[in-house]
Amino acid sequence: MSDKFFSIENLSVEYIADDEVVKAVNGITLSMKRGETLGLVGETGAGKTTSALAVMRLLPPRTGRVVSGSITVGDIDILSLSEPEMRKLRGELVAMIYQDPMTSLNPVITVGDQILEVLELHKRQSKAAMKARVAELLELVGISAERADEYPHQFSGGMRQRVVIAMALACEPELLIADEPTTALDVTIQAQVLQMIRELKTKLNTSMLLITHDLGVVAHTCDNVAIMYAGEIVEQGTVADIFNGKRHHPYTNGLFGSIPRLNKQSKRLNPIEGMLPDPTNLPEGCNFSPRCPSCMEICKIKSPRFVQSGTHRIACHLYSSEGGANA
Amino acid sequence: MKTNQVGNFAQDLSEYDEQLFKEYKKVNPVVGVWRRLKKSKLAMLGLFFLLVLAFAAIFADFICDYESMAIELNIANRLQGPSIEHWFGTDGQGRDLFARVIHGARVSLGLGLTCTALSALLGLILGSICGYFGGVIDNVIMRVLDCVMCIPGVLMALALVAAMGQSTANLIIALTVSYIPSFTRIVRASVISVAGNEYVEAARASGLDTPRIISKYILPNAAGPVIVEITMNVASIIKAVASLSFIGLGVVPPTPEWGVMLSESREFMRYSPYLVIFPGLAIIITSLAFNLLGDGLRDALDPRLKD
Repeated sequence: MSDKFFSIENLSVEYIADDEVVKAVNGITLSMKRGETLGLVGETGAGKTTSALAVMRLLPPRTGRVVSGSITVGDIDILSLSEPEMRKLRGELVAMIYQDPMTSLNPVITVGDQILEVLELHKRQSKAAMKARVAELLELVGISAERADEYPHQFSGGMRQRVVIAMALACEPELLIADEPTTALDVTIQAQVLQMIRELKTKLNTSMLLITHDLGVVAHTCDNVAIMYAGEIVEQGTVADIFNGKRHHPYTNGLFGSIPRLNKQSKRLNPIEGMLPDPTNLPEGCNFSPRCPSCMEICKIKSPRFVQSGTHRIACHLYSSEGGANA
Repeated sequence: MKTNQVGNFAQDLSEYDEQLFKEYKKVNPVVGVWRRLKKSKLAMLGLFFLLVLAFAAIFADFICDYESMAIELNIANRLQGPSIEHWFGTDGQGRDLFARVIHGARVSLGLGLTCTALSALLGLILGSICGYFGGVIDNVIMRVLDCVMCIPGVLMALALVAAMGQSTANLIIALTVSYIPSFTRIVRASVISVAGNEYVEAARASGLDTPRIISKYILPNAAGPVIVEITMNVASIIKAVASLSFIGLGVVPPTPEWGVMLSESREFMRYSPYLVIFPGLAIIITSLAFNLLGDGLRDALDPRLKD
């Protein structure tokens, strides 16, 4: 098997609004080995979900489009497929877990039938065999199989999210995209669901792209982490690199500074000043420069390249030769 | 001691859960709607009238013979007031008015339901295409329907019948055409609101194709307003049929149709008012019944008012 199972190369996505172009994703590059979990972290509007939708080829028609780049899963080039071919892969090769379990199930179909439908589409067998598989899936996510005949409104939020996960896992996809799977759940349920996702992932050897803005979730679940800011990846590395590394992108420092620590005495949190830049009008040079506490002259002119050390990559002039020279 | 208490509490909780679960189990959405509909007395009244009318329409032949009582002229017996023998009296040609009202129910309900079914079906197809795909197709279809809609329904039907000739088939076509736009709009609006839901995107993400998404995910969730519109439209189509027949462009005499009966009775109205009262009442009660039922359904289908 090749080293990289899933990779995104230089992907850019734009949304075309009435007369403006929103640059949601600007040339991101990611890769993942089979069975790995990659955390994609960033604040709301950083382009995390847009990247995920691009992988599923589900960008809103007419407004969203991929400008450049390539996406490969296994040895399939996702962006070159026709719509019917892509439809076959959705749910079978790549599956997605949505953020809000309250709205991601169809209220008029029983949960059993909703899982059954995915099986019907991709793994057609006899009715009895598929029914048995539905029961097995429900048990897998810890819901008693006799509840398959119930409607989504008869389940609690955490249970619905588990149903959604059962649906996503129905055809044993090789890549699972989880778009903030625990954001809508409370903390105890969140832990349960994460634990379950992790176990199932190991059991089925699925790779997972986990989108979140919760660094705690990342530390708990991921192997690698990419930090996204304004449509770009600013820092990338293993969990150890990001959480224990010495050098960081100023944005990553800002993110960690916004989390209350139990073991440190501090009077106030240090949130990052300012707002995400307007994606229709990104700043010159580094996108983070207007908010960056250690902004230099060069940051306002030239966008930084990645500086690599081992598995850890940071896109910041603080660590580049040109930036370092100027400082 | 303390852990024991906690243990008991947890057990109680799980028993309570189990109970709730059992009570909850058998509720399927249709049963829920029926339960809420039952609470509305007016809707039940409407439903009762409709059942009576449907009964009369279906068993009209057993209640009064069509040929001998509703069609055959009997001039010697004309313009009799209501009596035991003729419950609603007899009309200007000596036909039994009760028999004609009963057989009229068959015509009115039949036409009302046929036209509604046809226009609802076409509206459903056009509306889901417009709502789901949007863009150019949506614009073209909706602008054409706007043109149809700016001509009042009855006037439109009148023009079509006048152009195509007077027959029941043409009447059905004319009424269907003039009621398509309102259905299309309702369906389109609810499809748009449902299509934005995350479960539709989730369905797409699990590889469902468009026909399946529309038929299993969108239309069932958009059904509420459409069902209400259907019941309301039956009432208005029945009135339209009566109006067209009244001015002589709808159902052809001697077919017993309420509008035809009103029209024929005009000349006797001053001396035998019952001739207009009974068919008029039939029209009013039928359309009222459909409206009451529609109102009740609208409340019962509103998801914000669950139980």
